[in-house]
Amino acid sequence: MIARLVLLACLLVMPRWVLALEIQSVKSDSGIEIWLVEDHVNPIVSVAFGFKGGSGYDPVGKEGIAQLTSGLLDEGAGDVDSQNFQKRLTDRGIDLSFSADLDDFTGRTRFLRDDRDEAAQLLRLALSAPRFDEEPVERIRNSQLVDIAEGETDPDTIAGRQMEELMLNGHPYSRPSNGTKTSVMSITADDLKQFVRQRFVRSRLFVSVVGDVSPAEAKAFVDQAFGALPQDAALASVPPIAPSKAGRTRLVDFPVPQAIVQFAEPGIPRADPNFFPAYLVNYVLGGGGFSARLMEEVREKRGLVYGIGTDLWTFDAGGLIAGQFQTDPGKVAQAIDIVRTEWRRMATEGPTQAELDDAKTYLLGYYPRNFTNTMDTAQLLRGLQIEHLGIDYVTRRQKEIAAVTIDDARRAAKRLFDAAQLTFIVVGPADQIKLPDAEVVKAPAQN
Amino acid sequence: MAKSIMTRPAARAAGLLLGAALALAVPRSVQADIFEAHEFTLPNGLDVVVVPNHLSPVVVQAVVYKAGAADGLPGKNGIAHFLEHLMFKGTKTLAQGQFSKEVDRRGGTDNAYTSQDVTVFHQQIAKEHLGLIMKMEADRMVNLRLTDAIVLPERDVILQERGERIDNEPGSRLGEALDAILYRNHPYRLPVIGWRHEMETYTTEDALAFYKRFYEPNNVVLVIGGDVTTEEVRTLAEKYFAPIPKGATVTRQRLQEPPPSAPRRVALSDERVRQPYLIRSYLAPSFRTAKGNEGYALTVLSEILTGGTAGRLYRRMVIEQKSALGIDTGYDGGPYDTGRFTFYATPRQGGDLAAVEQAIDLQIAALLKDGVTDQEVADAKRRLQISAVKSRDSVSGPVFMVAEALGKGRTLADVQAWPERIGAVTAADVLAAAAQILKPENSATGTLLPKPAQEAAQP
Repeated sequence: MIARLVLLACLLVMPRWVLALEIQSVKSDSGIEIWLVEDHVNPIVSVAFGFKGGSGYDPVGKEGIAQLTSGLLDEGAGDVDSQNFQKRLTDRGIDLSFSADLDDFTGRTRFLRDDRDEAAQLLRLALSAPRFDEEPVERIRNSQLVDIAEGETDPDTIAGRQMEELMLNGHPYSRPSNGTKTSVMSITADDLKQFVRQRFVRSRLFVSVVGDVSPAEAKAFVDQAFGALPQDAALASVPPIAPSKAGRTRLVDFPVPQAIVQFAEPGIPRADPNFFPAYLVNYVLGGGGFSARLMEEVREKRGLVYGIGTDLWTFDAGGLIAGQFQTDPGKVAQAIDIVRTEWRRMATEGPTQAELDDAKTYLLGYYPRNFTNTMDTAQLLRGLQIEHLGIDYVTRRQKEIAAVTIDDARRAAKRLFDAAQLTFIVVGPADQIKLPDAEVVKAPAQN
Repeated sequence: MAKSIMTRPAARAAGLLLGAALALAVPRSVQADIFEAHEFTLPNGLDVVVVPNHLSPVVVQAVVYKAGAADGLPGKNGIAHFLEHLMFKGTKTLAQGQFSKEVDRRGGTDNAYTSQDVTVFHQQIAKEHLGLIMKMEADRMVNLRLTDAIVLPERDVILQERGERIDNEPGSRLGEALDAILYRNHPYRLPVIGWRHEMETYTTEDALAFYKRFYEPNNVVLVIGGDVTTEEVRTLAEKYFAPIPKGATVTRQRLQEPPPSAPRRVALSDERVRQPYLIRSYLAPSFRTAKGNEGYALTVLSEILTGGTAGRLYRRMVIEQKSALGIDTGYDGGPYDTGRFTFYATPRQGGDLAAVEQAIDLQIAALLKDGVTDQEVADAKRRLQISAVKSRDSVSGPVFMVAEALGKGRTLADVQAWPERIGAVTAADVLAAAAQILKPENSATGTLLPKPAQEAAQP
């Protein structure tokens, strides 16, 4: 059995698809680096791009500006107004969208290969000359205000906000990424224009192109779409997070039939040299779905939840280990107890050799499934660029995972998992939830 | 509004969500000349479709049982979904939970979902493991082992699932209430997951009875997609599925809808609602039940009304009149029996639901009076056909489209002819279909409203 597993792992380390997936690094005529995969199966091209600097970098008082901008770039640019911009996209079936996470502002576009000029032209306009006309700005602002209002009564959002407050000690990441009513109302067209000038610069740009294009066509597209952007602009960096180790439990009294529980403790950034051992240990504890201990103990054996899982959250400024589940109010205390017990067991014993082997073969075998369509492939490559993981990552990753030993995994478990540091947020009806040590608060009114 | 419930929580169900989302747009993506699907039938009646796609050395399997919640006995309609969960609990040769662990440790994923008409089990994995997942699916088609010790904790799980998906979500509770009045007789009026008081009574015997009645090879469509050839699939299907003996003929026996008589309404208020909205569904023929090309005409109609933000309702109600914050429509022609055509609208913040509803009524009246232009039809058809080309850029998407369509009584030829049939729709077809469907007596309207929090009791 052991021999079989070792053989399997060896086969998975360098499967054939690695050879098939040729990632080229090419430079456009104006000097922009592009990661390119040619795939001529369908007449389709996907482009994924991003700029370092997401909603975690929003100016104080203008929280929500990255997100608002992401909704407005396809609402009119240059001399094309909102309706005509949308019409030009839909007439050719060009998908174009933008989004902001804490660290990065990203975008993606997918189109038929014959429409690359039109797609490049619209993208260039969106990034370099968005109009921010009053009608679309008010319409999209209105949508964002509705999202904020809905968050006030959404138990997941309430739990997430409380967790940020307890864990992140006022760090810029702990601000709501869609802003507050006050901050979003205060954003002007000038603020939006300044955001665009400051953020969309070539020094912080990452681009990948996948699909039915030649290197020359990809270069031409990228120069047309991004060549007009300024080279650089100042952007203050975000300080490292210093997550709380206090291990508190807070119960937010809120009238929902089923309670929401989130839990977290300090984690590690993606750049940590022990990232893979930690990732594998988390897979065994809570990241591996039905192969994970938490799902087995809390759902399969006891029927306490529909789902439970944990993740390593990695940001430029640090990391967290976080998890969540929902259950009946009367079962919250029992489920939390099991989570703590499993957390302690993992810290003291680590995974078994068999669990580690299964986690490794999962992670090794999983990777090709990231490349089953052009947009997933493009977005994965963009992620590797933004994280500075290198163009050889796709093969290096396999070797590094295969090399993790049981001792590496046990060390990572001991270092990272500490039940005493786990903070729990419970949102539910307080009178039905028996947590004697919890600090009980009312759901806060926001504005 | 895709109606399906799955075994696993959403975090691990990206592929499935795609499948569920496609339920509304099943045929939206298929083009005959490049789709290259092949179909054959085993002697035991099991229908096999292969959809080759060589983007990555990965395969996708979907096993579709042509039985869903609407095929359950009265009081037991959630059994289809409960059984779906229990299918992961082991067989004569596989321990409880081992199915998923075998897939996981090879880097695959597996999941399942249940809708009113079908129960679908699916996996995605590196191509060299196709034989294994086919073998395990064939095994649980006949060898499922259930005991109360296994079944009863899982009943708690589905109750938690109901709490999470429906009881905790005002919008889901409105959807459930709307289904219950849109359909007055057909079991589509009942929730796929079941009513809580009935779920609490489900037994091992209930699940096994459903299994025995419907889980027969002659009631299954097996769809395999990805980096594989028809001959490879044929060899494996003959090895693993062909030995299963043919079962009794399975028929769907369902109560059908009476002729329409009056519009229905339901309003749900909840303290947690911050953004009111309105859903109005009209009963409509499905692709399978439609006479002529009504289903295709309704697909084009929806694209004209709200396809992208250039659709006429979005332009008029959101941008010009500013009566709505959002407006969408969808034609669900997928069901085995009666489908629906639905409008969704949210008013501007502080806006008035009655005003939005009136605006929709005026747009419908204008549509029925003036019809649609040839230009609108041509633009909508072109957009739909581009989306068909783009849908080929996926390994799992085409598999779920075929699985959904064939599981719900359509043929592979129907699926493959989709672009052609969309291409044949005329402005007159669109108007005729709209006039046939958009009648008040076909409709049920649901509104989601805020409710002021009750004032705290004074001491």
